[in-house]
Amino acid sequence: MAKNEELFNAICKGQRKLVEEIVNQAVAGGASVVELLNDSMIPAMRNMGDKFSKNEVYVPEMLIAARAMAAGLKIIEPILVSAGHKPLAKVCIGTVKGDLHDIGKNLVAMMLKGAGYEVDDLGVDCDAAKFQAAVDRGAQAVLCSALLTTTMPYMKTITEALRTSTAKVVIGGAPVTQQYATEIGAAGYGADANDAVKVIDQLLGVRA
Amino acid sequence: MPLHIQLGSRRVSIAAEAHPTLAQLLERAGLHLNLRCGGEGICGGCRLQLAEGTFHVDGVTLTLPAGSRHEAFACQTRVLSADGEIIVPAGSLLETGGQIVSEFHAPNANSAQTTSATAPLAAAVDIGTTTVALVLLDPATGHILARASQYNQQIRKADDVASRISFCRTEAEVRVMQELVIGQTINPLLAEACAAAGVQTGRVERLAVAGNTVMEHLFLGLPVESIGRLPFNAVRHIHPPCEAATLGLAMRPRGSVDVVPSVAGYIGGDIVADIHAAHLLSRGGESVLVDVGTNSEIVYAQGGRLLACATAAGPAFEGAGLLHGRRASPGAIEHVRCDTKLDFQCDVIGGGKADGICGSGIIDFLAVGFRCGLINAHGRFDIERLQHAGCYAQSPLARGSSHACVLVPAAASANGQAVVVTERDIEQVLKAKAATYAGLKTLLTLQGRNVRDIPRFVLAGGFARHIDLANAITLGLLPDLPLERFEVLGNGSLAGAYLALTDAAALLAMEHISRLPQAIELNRTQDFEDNFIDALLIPNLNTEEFPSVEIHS
Ligand code: B12
Repeated sequence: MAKNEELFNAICKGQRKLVEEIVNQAVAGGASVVELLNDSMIPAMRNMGDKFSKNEVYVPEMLIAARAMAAGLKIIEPILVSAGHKPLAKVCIGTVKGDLHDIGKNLVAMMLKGAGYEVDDLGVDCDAAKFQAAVDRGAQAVLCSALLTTTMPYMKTITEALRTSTAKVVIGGAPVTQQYATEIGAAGYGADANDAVKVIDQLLGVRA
Repeated sequence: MPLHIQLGSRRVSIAAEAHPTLAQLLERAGLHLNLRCGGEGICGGCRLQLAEGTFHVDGVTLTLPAGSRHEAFACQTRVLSADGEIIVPAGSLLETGGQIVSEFHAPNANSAQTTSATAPLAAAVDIGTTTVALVLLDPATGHILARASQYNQQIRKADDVASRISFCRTEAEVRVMQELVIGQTINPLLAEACAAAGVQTGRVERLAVAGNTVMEHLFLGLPVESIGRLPFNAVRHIHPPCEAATLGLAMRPRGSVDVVPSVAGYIGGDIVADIHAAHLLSRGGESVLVDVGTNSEIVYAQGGRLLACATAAGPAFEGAGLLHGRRASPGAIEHVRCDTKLDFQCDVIGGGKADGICGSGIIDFLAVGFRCGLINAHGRFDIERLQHAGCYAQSPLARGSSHACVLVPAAASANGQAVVVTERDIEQVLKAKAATYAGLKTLLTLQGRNVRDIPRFVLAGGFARHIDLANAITLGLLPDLPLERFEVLGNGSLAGAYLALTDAAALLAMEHISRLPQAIELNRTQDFEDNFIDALLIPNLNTEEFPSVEIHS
């Protein structure tokens, strides 16, 4: 199936209701959900991500597009599972202990799903044990988000707890810097949602 | 080893030592930079340009020939060469002085009355995160003898509340903060007000303060660490009166000090004071109070019931984090008008030339820009129109660049640098206004109420006195209500402290108020994220919530 232009555009423009309509219609019409995902939805998020890194779109537009993407994914996800769709790799993401900010984290999660990863979303206020459990469930990378200068130091606890595991720890959020990531020995740092995908791609050796 | 510093048209030379950071060197020379993140290299408040010399920047050694313009953060840069030259933009300096935020409405703040030469005096203090305001009064008559305000000197260590909490990891650090707000801020204000009134500071027998929970804790020397993370609990909310000498206040040593009680970690005594001063309870009916600021608080009152929440808008409304943003003090653009030819008319505080833009100015700019079609609903410029009108500029970012609109050309500005607003700046403002509006909508929706049905809308906080209400509605910061439903309270926190001193029943009433509000955790509610995303657009993704705002497509 070729790219569904209508769906691609509806996601880029963040038209949540329209995305739901198109996806529902396509599914009812017997379209392949894997193709919908791979040929229209993932390219739409990638397109937004590319524009974002060129400063052609900003966070508000990204959030609105991600919300539309999420609405579409919600419909196809159960079908994808039963279709035996193979994700690129499995990663987990969560906001660290003491912190409840999750809008940025949700955007990162959506971009990763949009890039073809299976994302185990641990929610907010996650302690090291929660991340460890996700690694035990098969997550190859651990993404931690913190928005408060008061909760950021907990990332150190997480990297230390996961030091012996093979999972790569990637950190991000407004107060976090590359310098801090290096200091606490995290495997990676991402400045924004698009960066997060690039760092994960690189660390897991998924795309060159 | 001299270091030459260019500050606008002023030139200063100081002896440079290799070890401290530029921020520390400048601080020793009395030039306080904006270190709101506590000098951690995060906020970019201390941005400056390296013009010549060898520097150690972010772990890398750089040698720059004369005439260079290398942007760096002062807190992350050291000078290595024998001499060097740097350029400090005005926006990176922490101006001292502060805006006059001591205006408020209080029933008996009658300045026509007089005071006998021996009557005991009192001082009411509003401890803001940014600005501290004090009034000296005769508590028996309510007569105000003098007013004074200045920046909260804690700002030298860290700018926002969370960064101050991060700073206070030990008891000693809490004491540093306490000394900064009492010894370096309130005592000088007491001295200034007493000097203006021609009285001795020893005549001040009572003092009452109101502020957010963290400010009140630091004033009393209480630890704040627990307020910094979940579940954001404070040590206590009701503070017993104490003796002035125990806090080191420069007034009568046996004088008594009262602190207005608070509600929760992020709903402080300032909000309790606002509620009391605005008669939110006693006037009955249904009303909303919003204290707009770095941390916007929202209170919903309905027949004796109170609900409150805090939405962390961020410092954009105080001009921080914007390329040419600055606080509302002389030199800041406070209002902007424009015609369809994009001929911008700017009002500058103090009447002189501008070197930056403050919160009320940026609200105007976005609203008028949106109305004339220069800025679209996503906060993006119509580049062709900007170019056509000759106002287009490009401003470099860490990665890539951002489109910008020139408000004041270089030749007409105070420092020879054009004052511009970038699309990045607009994004910051949109996040701040979205957090405020989304908090309001989420709180009211929980009550089954619609924002547009609120009969009385009180705006508290110093900043709210200066904003153009119609423009704030166009932006989508305030709900689309008829203007006559808004009431501007002014500095309600100071008014509450004033009432605590002049009205014997006030403190008790505020203690009662502090126990009432049900604090709503916005992050625990499902709707907030959706409302926040909707509110990132101008005026809102749901345009039907803003029927009076004309939408261009
Ligand atoms: C929305 C918001 C809230 C909402 C949160 C709702 C939610 N469900 O998340 C509410 C109102 C509940 C809230 C509450 C609080 N907030 Co708040 N909040 C904000 C606000 C306005 C926007 C944050 C946001 O969502 N941005 C949009 C997203 C998309 O951006 P982002 O999160 O930065 O994420 C991007 C990158 O950082 C990166 N990223 C993020 N995570 C990760 C992870 C990885 C692995 C990677 C690679 C990348 C990455 O990618 C994202 C997309 O590009 C900011 C101020 C501002 N203007 O930014 C304050 C702010 C973050 N909050 C702040 C504070 C202090 C609080 C409170 C503690 C106090 C209060 N006033 O109530 C509370 C308590 C929060 C809690 N319990 O944890 C402060 C923090 C200051 C500091 N120095 O730490 C800020 C900066 C405001 C301020 N200056 O005062 N807040």
